Amino acid sequence: MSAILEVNNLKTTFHTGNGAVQAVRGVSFHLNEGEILGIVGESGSGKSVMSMSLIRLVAPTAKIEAGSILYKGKDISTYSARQLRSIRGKEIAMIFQDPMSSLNPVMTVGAQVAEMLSEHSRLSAKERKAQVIALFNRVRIPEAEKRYRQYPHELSGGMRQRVMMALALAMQPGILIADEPTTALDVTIQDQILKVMRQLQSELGTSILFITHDLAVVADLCSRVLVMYGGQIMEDASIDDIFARPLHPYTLGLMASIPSLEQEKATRLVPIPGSPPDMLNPPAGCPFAPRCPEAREICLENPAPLVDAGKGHHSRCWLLTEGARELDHPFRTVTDAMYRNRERTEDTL
Amino acid sequence: MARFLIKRILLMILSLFVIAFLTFSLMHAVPGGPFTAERQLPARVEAEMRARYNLDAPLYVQFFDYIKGFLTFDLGPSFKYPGKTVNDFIENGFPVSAKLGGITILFILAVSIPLGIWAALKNGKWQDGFVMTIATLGVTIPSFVIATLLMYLFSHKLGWLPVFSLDKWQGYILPVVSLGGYSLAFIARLMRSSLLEVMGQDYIRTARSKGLSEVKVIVRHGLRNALIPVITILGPTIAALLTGSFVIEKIFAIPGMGVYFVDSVGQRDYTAIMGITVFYATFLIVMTFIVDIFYTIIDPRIRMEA
Ligand SMILES: Nc1ncnc2c1ncn2[C@@H]1O[C@H](COP(=O)(O)OP(=O)(O)O)[C@@H](O)[C@H]1O
Ligand code: SF4
Ligand SMILES: [Mg+2]
Repeated sequence: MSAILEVNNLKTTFHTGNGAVQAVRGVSFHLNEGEILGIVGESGSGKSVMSMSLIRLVAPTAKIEAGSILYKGKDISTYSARQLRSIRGKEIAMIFQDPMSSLNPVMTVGAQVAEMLSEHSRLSAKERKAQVIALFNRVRIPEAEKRYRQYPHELSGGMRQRVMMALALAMQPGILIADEPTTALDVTIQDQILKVMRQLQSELGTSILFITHDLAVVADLCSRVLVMYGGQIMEDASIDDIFARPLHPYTLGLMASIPSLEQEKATRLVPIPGSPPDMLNPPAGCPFAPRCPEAREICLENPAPLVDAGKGHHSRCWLLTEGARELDHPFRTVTDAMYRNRERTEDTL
Repeated sequence: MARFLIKRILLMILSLFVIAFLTFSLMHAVPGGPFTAERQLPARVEAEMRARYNLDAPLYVQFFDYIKGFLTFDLGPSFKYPGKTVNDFIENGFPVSAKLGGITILFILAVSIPLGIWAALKNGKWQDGFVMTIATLGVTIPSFVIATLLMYLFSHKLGWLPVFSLDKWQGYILPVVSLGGYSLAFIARLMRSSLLEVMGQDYIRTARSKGLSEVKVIVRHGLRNALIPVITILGPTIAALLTGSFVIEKIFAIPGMGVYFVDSVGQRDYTAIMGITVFYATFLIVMTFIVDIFYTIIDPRIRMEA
């Protein structure tokens, strides 16, 4: 399997009035040809900024630095704005979280998809329309002909997300980045969208970067996963491996918040106590240390190394290094109290 | 659609009726009448005048006389200028005001919208600061101050531009700038803030993700959305400018509607007050209606529903 995308040491910093927000702090990973790679992490982990940085879609206040971003072997991080435009949509397309706001309210959905075709191909207006309707059928939009002429506000959230999918797939891109495409939708619609996505992936062989905060969806859809936190990758592994032997305390925390089957009825995520770090002043050491039930003194001051656990499984945690487990837990009392509170709130749910 | 139009038109008629009624009531509530002057008229003469202009009839009869007149586009005789009708005032004054207003509107649109767009695209840079400073001055300085300053500078000091003459096109420059200054500044600011807000929307990011050039993103996706709030205020602005500004007309000695109107109020010229108010109100209501129709064309989320 060869990598269609290889990202080395990507950093994105927003320069704001309050200072520098270090949203992405040195991310490296690869996406294999034809695979669905999951990226999970709580809100604020840097998933969106990281993925939008790949094709420079972040706000102009952001400075993106990268060792390299290799798409099919070419370093697109060095591309000019004009060169990058020929990548956007055509080679790397994106679907965003909120289908309500991601489509232009004063333009018909058909025209918005057709615009992608006119930008990157030389089809006549008639051919474009036929192709858009074919795309609508492909993403299972019923009455495609009629939908073509409708405006976003006339469609449901699920339909709009299908339009976004049709848009993203219009040029048969090499990579589809789906940034929490189902988060804003309710559960049944979510299942339908995921089903369409899986089908398209097997029909077209598109490589997909699937971003979510829900490990259960990742388990269902992806072959590999990156766990992101505090602008860094905490753990990466194949799906089988990560559920068989999760190594990182943050991953364990995320797993504890997946509702088990018996719980399904009372689905209420149990979050990890505490909140993600402020990226204006990210912690010097492991970003998870203030919330980690396993944290040692070394975790506070020193960034944890990325440890190779074999079978393509890596984890960024001090505990995996020689002798670290034997060190004292300096925060035991603080984190114990945090986790006791969490159990109490769990009881009251 | 048809139902929407009928309902809107009925509502417009009702609004006009209410406006006419309020104007009539206020007019009669204010002390003094058309024949109140420093020198008391002989009682016999005043009585005769009152009878001639039907002022002795009960108020409701007078009111419905006005309404009857409006329906036949007959606004009645002026109380103050014997032999002249209110229709004459409007026929004389309105074209003058409307021509000045029309030129001003074109000037405003041609300058304020590009200026607002430019400022938004240069957001935070010196060009933006420059435009915003001028625009802030424009909305805070009253038009008569602008007019006086411009007149002093360009006519009195430099002698470049004429005042008090609309015969030559140069004569329009100062009145147009003074009359349009406020709206120009206001629309430029609105255009800027609206475009800035739109350019931060998710659908702009979607447009960029398609690989469109920045120009296409702005023109196809940004502007059309950003113009919506601008169009909303355009209706009343156009109506106000076309019907004339008392201050500007007074300063530049322009024989427009604005001057007639204010004079008629001062002199309790009842028919003129009623006639011009209703004319102005009709104009405003019709302009707003036209803008609403435009609005439904540019923004498909707004439906023409009754
Ligand atoms: N335009 C921006 N300006 C400043 N900070 C930003 C901006 N966009 C995102 N951030 C910050 O970057 C961090 C990562 O955000 P994001 O990538 O959206 O997280 P996620 O997608 O994982 O929920 C957050 O701390 C967020 O506040
Ligand atoms: S490095 Fe330390 S703080 Fe970070 S996850 Fe591992 S044990 Fe917890
Ligand atoms: Mg996000």
